[in-house]
Amino acid sequence: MSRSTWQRHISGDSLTGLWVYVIKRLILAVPTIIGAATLIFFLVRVLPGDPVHLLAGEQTSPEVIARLRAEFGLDKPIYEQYLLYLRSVFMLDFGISYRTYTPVIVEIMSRFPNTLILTASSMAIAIAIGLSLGVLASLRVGGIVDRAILVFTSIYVSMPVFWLGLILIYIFSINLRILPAGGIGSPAHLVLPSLALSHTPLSYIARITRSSMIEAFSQDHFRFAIARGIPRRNAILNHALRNSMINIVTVIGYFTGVLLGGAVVTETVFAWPGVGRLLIESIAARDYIMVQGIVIFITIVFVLVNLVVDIIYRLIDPRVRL
Amino acid sequence: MVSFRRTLGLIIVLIIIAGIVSYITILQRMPGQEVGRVASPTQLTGMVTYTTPYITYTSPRAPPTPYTSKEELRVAIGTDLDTLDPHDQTTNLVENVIMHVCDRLFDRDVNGNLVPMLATGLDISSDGLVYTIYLRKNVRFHNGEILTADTVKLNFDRIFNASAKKRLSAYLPNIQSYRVVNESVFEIRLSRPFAPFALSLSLVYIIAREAIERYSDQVPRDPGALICTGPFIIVEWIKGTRVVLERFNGYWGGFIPLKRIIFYIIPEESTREAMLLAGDVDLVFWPSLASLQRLNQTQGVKVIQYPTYRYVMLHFNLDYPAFQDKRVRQALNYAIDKEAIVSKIFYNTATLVKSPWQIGMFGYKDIGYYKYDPEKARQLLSEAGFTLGPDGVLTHTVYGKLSIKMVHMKGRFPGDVELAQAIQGYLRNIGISVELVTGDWPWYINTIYSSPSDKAKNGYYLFQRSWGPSVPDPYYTVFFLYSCKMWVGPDGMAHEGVNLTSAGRNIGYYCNREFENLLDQYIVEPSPSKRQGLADAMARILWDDAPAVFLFQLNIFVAAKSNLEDLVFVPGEQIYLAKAYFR
Repeated sequence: MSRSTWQRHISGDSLTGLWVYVIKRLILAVPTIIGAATLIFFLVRVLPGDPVHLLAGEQTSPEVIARLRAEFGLDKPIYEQYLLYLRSVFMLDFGISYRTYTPVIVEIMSRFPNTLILTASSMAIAIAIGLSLGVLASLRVGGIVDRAILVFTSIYVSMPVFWLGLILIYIFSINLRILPAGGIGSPAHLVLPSLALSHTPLSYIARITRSSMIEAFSQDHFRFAIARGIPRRNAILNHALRNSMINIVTVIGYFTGVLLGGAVVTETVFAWPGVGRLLIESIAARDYIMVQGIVIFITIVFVLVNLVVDIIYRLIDPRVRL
Repeated sequence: MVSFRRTLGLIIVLIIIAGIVSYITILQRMPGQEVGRVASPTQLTGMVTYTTPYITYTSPRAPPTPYTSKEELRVAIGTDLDTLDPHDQTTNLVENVIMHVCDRLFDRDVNGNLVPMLATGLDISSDGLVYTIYLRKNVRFHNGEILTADTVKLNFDRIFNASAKKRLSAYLPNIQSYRVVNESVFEIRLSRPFAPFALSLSLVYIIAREAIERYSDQVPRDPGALICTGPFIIVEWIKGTRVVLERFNGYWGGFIPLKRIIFYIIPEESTREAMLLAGDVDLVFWPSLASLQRLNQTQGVKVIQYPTYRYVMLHFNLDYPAFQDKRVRQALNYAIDKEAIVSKIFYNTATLVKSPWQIGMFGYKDIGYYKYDPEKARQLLSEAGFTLGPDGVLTHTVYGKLSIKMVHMKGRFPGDVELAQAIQGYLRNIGISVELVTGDWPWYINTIYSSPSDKAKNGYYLFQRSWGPSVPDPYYTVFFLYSCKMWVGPDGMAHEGVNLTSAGRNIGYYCNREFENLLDQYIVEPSPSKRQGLADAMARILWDDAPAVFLFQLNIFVAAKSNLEDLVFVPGEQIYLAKAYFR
């Protein structure tokens, strides 16, 4: 893509079109969020367990039970609770946690940077290694390197993250003693959870890159580029890889969304205080308000990530119309 | 081509920027933590059982000898605090942290007797209605305030606030009024005598006037608002990550060896163990049962345990006709090999109990033992009219087949699922068919406190239970679990003519009038010796009547660096660390 083409796609009329598209998508996200909010409101209430009994403790009095029920609004009819909840969602007020007496949004935002950094570093590892392995395998189709990469990615993606996490801890923390086993606080703390969390996206990216590249190699434009005498390296990078990027970005976007929603197992194994752990802790405590808030937050993140992916499609491939 | 490269570059730059921004955010909030080192695990060490009597506040201590200069203790715990409010919390984990920051009116010794803390004395009037509390003088709060009876009154006002009664109020029943007598004397008047009240005073944490008047609503979540008199101050609480305590140099109770305690929140037990082995922490709560032996054999690490008040038992639902026959209930007590379970499933981290209430409680005495005797169990069932059917399951001409569902929890305490499976096997051995119904804690609580009709509809007639009272008086076990007044169900519902209460905890609908009369007398009897007699009589009735299969008390167990000394175990499942030091 020439410089003028690039400018055409991100400026002028096209830029206005992009903003219109973004606004349209954001408006369309509203029913999605309301749908998710409604679903989670009723789902958490279907779960067996009464938050009041859990919070009051076993040795309690009827007065304390009544106070907590009234405080959380759980003494109101379910339809009234639902309407109040919808109103607060519209006002972007996620409420106060039953368990911690802290605004839900404050709790989420105290954890989200941790999730963001873990996602960023895991995806950086997955993209860097996955892309390289995928391209390498596609250049040696059927060869020993290709087979080795296929076997490696198959085994790697099949490893349960819980098991992989413990193995990493065993090797790097207990035996070699070069990295901390869990917690947060220094760059070293990020290494093991990022490695563990990157294993699935890395394998998928490697495999999708390989198959997309193989397909691109058989396309006329690539053959023509080679016939034109364009250096092979340039042809691979700018013709084959570029044309494969739509598929690869789709996978990257999907996993980014998933990881931003919280990686419960990895966060638990490595004591990483992210959104996923907060969600699980809140479900265990039947902290309805917190669970609802987190689910809505994750929905919004997913919608935004998908939107970004669509915009990236457009930047990668000018034929894509938004 | 240029634009494609730019696009790719843009994606990578965005990822890097997002990473850097979040990382900087985290770094600003969290100072770095060093990766520690420990010696390699080669040498065996023996299992250490602590028997140290716990917290006593007699006189300032001198520094222990030998004593190293290491003043920071790093502890890995499994769950984050949900609140900091000492008046409105119910979990042992919260108390594990709060007890280092705030002091209570009284403490308890290892036998469950009151010992001085912020109060130095207690007078109880002969009619058992007036409690006069004498406060320690010259005790300073973290903000420099002096402890007075006025402050204590403010705390009681906060606990019993009419519009927002704190959870602690449930432990302080029957209070009619309270008043300040003078600067260091506080008086409480009860509406009716209630003998366990004195021990309940050992739960009353005192926070500063400033904390109540200026920050009352912030106490649950703002460490700065938690102004107390304890040996440490919370200087940092990062949700889901850690709680940092620093020594309060104006502490009234004497020398504190540690300057700083950091509680790291590490939910996964294997990670906690790995952190100890890697040297990232010095002490871990609740390592996995399966790892205890390995940890105990690791050089530089020791495993320590101490009995708690948590009693594990099986409750009979007496709505099931067969369980109304005492012989059947006794048979189940004989059918289960408790010693084998303690040894094989709990790796000796449980203590057999020979009384309806816990070792360490007022009035505890060994009064009997349902020693494993499957033959006796079969004999009792035979006397009750059961015969073995062709399918190997006992049947009765009136009650039908002895085939029941047992409700049990998963993830509440280590070994809970394995315990249920073992019980299923032991009962099958004598011809009782048991179907296990498993759920997480919220489901379990919801199920056992459901209405009698729901339990009957689902066939839930046997319940695995763990009960850990906060106050070491048998009242807090036997009243809640076996009193006719504590039959549980939705408020307003009646069962066999008895009104149920949602705060009731008698899930099996056991009711014995003779026991109930003794309990009524026990509750109001001020004389300790007479209460002891009544306690003995209650224990004998319950033990013989067997409203539950009495199993064992759980121990709290931790793994620690072997040079960490003076951990003080509190039977309420806490460990007091203010005396700890590194040898």
